[in-house]
Amino acid sequence: MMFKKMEKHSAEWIPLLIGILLFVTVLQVAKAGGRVTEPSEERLSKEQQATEAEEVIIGVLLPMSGTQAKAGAEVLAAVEMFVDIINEESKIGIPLAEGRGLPNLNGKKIKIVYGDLKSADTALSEAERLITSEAAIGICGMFSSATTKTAAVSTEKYKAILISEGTSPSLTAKGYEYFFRIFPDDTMYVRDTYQFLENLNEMEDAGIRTVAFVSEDTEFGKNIEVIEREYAEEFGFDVVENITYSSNATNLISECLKIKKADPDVLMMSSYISDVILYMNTFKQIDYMPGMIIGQRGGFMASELFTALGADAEGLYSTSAWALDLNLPLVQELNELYKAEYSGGVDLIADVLKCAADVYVLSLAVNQAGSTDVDAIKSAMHNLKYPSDQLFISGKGFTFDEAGQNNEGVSLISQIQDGKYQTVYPKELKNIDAIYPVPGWE
Amino acid sequence: MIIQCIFEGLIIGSILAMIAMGIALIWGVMNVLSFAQGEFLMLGMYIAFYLNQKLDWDPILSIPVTMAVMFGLGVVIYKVLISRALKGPVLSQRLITFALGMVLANGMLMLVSSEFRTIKEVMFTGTVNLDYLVVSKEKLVPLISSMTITALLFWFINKTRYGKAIRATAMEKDAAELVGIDSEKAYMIAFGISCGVAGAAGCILSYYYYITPTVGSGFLLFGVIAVALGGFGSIFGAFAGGILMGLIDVFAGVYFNTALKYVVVCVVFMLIVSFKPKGLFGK
Repeated sequence: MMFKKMEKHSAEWIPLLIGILLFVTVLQVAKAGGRVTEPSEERLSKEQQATEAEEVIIGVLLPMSGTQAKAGAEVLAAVEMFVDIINEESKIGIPLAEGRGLPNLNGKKIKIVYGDLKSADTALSEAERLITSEAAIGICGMFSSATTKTAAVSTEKYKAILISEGTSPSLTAKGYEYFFRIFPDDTMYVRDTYQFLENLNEMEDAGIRTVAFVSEDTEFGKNIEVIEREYAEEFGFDVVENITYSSNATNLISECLKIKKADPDVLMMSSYISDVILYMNTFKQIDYMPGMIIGQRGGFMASELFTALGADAEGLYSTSAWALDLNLPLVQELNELYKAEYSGGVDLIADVLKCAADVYVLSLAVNQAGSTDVDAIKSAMHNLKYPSDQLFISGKGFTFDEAGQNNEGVSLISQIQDGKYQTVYPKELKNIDAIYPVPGWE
Repeated sequence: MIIQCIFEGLIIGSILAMIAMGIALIWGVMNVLSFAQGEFLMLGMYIAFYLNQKLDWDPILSIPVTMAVMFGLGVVIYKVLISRALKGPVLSQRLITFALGMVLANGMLMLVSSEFRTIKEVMFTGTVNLDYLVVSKEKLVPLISSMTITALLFWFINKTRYGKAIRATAMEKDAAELVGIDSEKAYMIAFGISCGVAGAAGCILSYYYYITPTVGSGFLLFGVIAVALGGFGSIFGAFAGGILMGLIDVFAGVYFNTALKYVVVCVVFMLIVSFKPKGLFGK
């Protein structure tokens, strides 16, 4: 009875309530003069908030759940390390470490706001949330090329800096205004891979003639496969097999049987960690090992490679943008600090350092600009000054071109020897001789 | 190459068959589609992994313990969730195992993280090279184990009192109750067995596969297709569907296109459903 009464009353009240809400909305629109707020204006108010705040806010997107969560946690630890170096006094000999905070902004500290990076969709929505709700002046994170493109929709719309290590060359061809990439792109990595093979042939008489490609079927694998094919022709290597496989495959036996049949001198792979584990286990089960397996980062540049494969990871090659054996004292200092206080004993690896370095470089640019104005930061990025004796990455420093690519970066080739990545190319940076061909499973 | 493909297809198929048989058993008995079968497989992998790490047990030796634990878990899940959902609307019955699968996968992500684990030290390793066929002991032993468990499941369902009670309940629940069969108990045992078989498949798979909380989802999809291929309600059909799926997977990958091998699987599935809507062995 009582419910019926309430239902009757509700039926009477609902149209009235809707009417009041509509009336209030119309009044508010009229008060605003019917003016629609532009995204840039919305962004401006956020900038004002950030300027007034005691902190400079940087957004970082990381996978916090799912299969990439562990890698995300490693990047988070490395980001925290760099933020602590900037915000607190530190003995690490890199710029911004000496004092507390950013000296050109009266000691303002860096504050990181995190977002979850689950997919290309969440990259867009989380980047938007961090810029508009959290007042982030820029976005960094563990982006792939695909997630970079969707995050860029938000950063371009709301005028925020985006620093990403998505390696697709298409990212710098899209004409993004606020996009930057510190480390090399796929073209450089692949070209250097072939140069390395050529070098092995010339210096060691390795006799490498044939190559085969294995690429997963998302943008990561597809982009690299195109470049690998182009350079194979340019460098004169025969492509004896070219496999694209489903990234959702539950088994990779047919792929491995085809590779075994083709028997290339060098197998170039673009795969994520789960597939790398599966490929290596399957190769072992069919008793096959090509002379060289070289990965284009991805799963080949992951700390889980060692825990999951153990000794079976020995001899694998990967392209890389950074290595622990670089002849720079700061590399070891940073790694020791990371292991002792942030990662629980896990070494820094290239793909983790790259994301954290993006946050650091953005902080440098904010300090150099002396402002949180995005155009001033963009200008500072293009004119970034960094002392060459304080470098902790390979290359000569930072010179960004109009498209946002740092042209001073250098790609490396590492081989897993004695349970760790060791640089084998280029010769001026190499730490150890490459082993080719790698021994079989016996 | 053909003999190698058949061998590898049988290995993949035997795992899919074990998942498919669990799905077919639950569907045949209580008309519930078990979307959590992939997660039961994943739990079996983790039990095998931790028994290996803590007690140094080989995954194959841990099959009986894993099956017992998973059977117990299945009974609990049936009592707490499934039996209640069966009293609700059809949609709840269909979706309850989907929700359970999500909870299990995400719960494990929180408990053990997404780290990829492998069992590195197993009892049988190495290969036997016969020129026309490379036999990996790491796969041969699991293949024999999965065939043995499949045979045991057939024996249980066809020859034992409980198995006959489950079959009778699946055929006609009311009639089975009239002749004194406790259908509730039959349901519970069927769900427990289904979990146990998936757990055993997990132990076998952990012999050569990586272990992570989301590993089961891929296998579930192909397990369901295998059931539909073989015919819903037929355990033998599910077994045959699983083996067929494994063989198509390998042959399509090697002789057609690796990127399109799952398209071939789906085309074969659509063709079979078009000509035999109830699957190869469905009634």
